[in-house]
Amino acid sequence: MNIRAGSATGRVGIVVAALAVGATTALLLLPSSQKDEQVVRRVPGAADEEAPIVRALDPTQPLMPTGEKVSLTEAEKLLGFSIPMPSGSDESNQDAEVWFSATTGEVATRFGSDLFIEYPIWAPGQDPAREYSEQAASWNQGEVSEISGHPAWLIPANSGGEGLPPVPVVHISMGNLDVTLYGDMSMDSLIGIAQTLEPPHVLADPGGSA
Amino acid sequence: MGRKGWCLELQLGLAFLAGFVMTSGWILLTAGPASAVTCVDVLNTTDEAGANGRGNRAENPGMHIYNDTIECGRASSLFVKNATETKFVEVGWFEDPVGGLFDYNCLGETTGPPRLFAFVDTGASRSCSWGMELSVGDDGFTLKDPDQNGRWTFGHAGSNFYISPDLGSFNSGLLRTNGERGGNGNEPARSEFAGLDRMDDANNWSAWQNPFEAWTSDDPGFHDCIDNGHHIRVINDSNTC
Repeated sequence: MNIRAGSATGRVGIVVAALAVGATTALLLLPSSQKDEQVVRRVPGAADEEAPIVRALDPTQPLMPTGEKVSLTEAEKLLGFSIPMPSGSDESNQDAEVWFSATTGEVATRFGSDLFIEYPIWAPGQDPAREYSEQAASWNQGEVSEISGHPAWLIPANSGGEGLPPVPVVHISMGNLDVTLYGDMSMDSLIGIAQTLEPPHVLADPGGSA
Repeated sequence: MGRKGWCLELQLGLAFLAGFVMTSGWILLTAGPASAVTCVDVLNTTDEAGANGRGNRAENPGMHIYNDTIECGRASSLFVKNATETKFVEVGWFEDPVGGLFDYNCLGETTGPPRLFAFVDTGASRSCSWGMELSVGDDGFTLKDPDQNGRWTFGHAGSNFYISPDLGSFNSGLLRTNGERGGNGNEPARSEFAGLDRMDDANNWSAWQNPFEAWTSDDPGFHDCIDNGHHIRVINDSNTC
């Protein structure tokens, strides 16, 4: 179409074009969406907003959210065997918190904000040394070793990504227990504490008086 | 410049202005007032069975899958956790349309309907599987380690879809339900679990007994209904249990 500026058709065409330019300018200047999105990441697995290992190292928080605090003697009576505790170190067993889950039968201990220890029981037929090797390979993480002749798996802080784990972790197999230490300290210090653990022994009279 | 030229320029200017004003008005009217979507305050309600197990499931009919209109994120799931909560396995469905809210550096951003997911967390590492689109309805979801070898099997609608990496001595634990939302206050937090069972030491399934509320964020507008061991719901405050 041949448009001449002087003709009526041409003027209408130019006016329409100007309208279109105005509309396009508005579209360019105004954001397509008025939303300003902000995302805060969820802390995985946490009942609250704190990573579970960080929470477990906080003495103001329960070590077992649905468990209860008991004495060491009480816990050992409930389990029927002695609980490996650190000795000869700065950790004071006197001040240790001992937690028990009546639902699962699990025990865990906490020493201030530096250290907590879990004592899960291997299932019958599980070979601890092989388990540690398979887990290290399965997760491509940490180093399988021995501590005082016991099979062990050493997992450095942040070896699975940022905050995974947030502190060094040492697994050491003693008796039928996969003793797991989490320490807000160096790996060497944590291994040093693991070296002081006494292996569990069956209590002669677990139901008797302490 | 003649009168004709001045008139044309005026017409052009007015047309440009009219186009700008009309288009701006249309954008503002359709978008409504400016709103800031802040996806914070993850809120969840978690119930726990009175006994531990080496498996947890909702089946016959199962866990309800909702496909609500959401802006931030939603999840409904079953857990098995150790007592310190440093380790867990989780199966269920989720929606994360803005991405990053439920990703755990493993799951991804979703579009459209809810997605099936499996998630494993050792406290030191994570692993997951996700993606299948789910339809609204009641589906069976299962977590179990019947071989007691630390390798958990994840099931949905009668089929196994994922086996976890080796979790060693973590082969049983606390059994939980979880209704969760990543909120800007407008997410519907409802969830429903019917046919809750635990796997016992002989690998038999039996109904949950004596469940209780293990954790709640006191989600405003919603409350927990433990109807019985077999049936748990998170519902709107305007409804009674």
